[in-house]
Amino acid sequence: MNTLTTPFNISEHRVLSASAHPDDLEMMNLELLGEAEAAFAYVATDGGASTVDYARSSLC
Amino acid sequence: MPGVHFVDLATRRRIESEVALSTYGIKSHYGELPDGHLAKWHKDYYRHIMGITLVSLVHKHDITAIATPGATGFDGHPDHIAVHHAAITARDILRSNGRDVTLLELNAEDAGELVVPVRRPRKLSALALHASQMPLTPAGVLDPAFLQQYPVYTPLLTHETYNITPAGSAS
Repeated sequence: MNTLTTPFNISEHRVLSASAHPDDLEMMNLELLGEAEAAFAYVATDGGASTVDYARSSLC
Repeated sequence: MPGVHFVDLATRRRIESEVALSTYGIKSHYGELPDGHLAKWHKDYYRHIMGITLVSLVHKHDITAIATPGATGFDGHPDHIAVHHAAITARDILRSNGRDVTLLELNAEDAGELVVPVRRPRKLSALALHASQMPLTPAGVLDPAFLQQYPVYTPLLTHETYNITPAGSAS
């Protein structure tokens, strides 16, 4: 954990959410981005794998 | 069936995402890399592709902070972890070119420096826009049974907690 030397104010930041899947941002970062000065999203994958595919991939 | 069009899962999720993000005023960029493969055979390639794309978006939108799923991907999903590493790559590329960003890493242990309270109805409504992934109640919100099935996400319905690596600090 980092020790902050100055208070961190999210409302002063332009935030880019880096997420893997189309619904990750809403689950993980929605409120953070709502507090930011401006909010942007990068969604890395096409979201084409099903839950079953994920379960299989986790076993690889 | 007139008026009904069936699309593949990737297309449906893209549409759901565009609707959700635009609803909340979030501009989006889609990498369209293969779901479930970011930490597999071509992981170094994907990491650099993602990192370079993030660098481009930082410059394009004058970004000052990047939020990541954290070192554990929050829930351990290999794609989430790969994206976190890509964000670190982006930060390192930016630093080597004289620019820096703050990293906000989602913390699964409830031990971060930044705690953002969640407006639960708002988040449930946002998640409900991803109907292909989320079980919904008749009222159109996320079914509480989902959280019983995946309890790892339960804290995210009350608060989001982040570790902060400020711009200009050591890694």
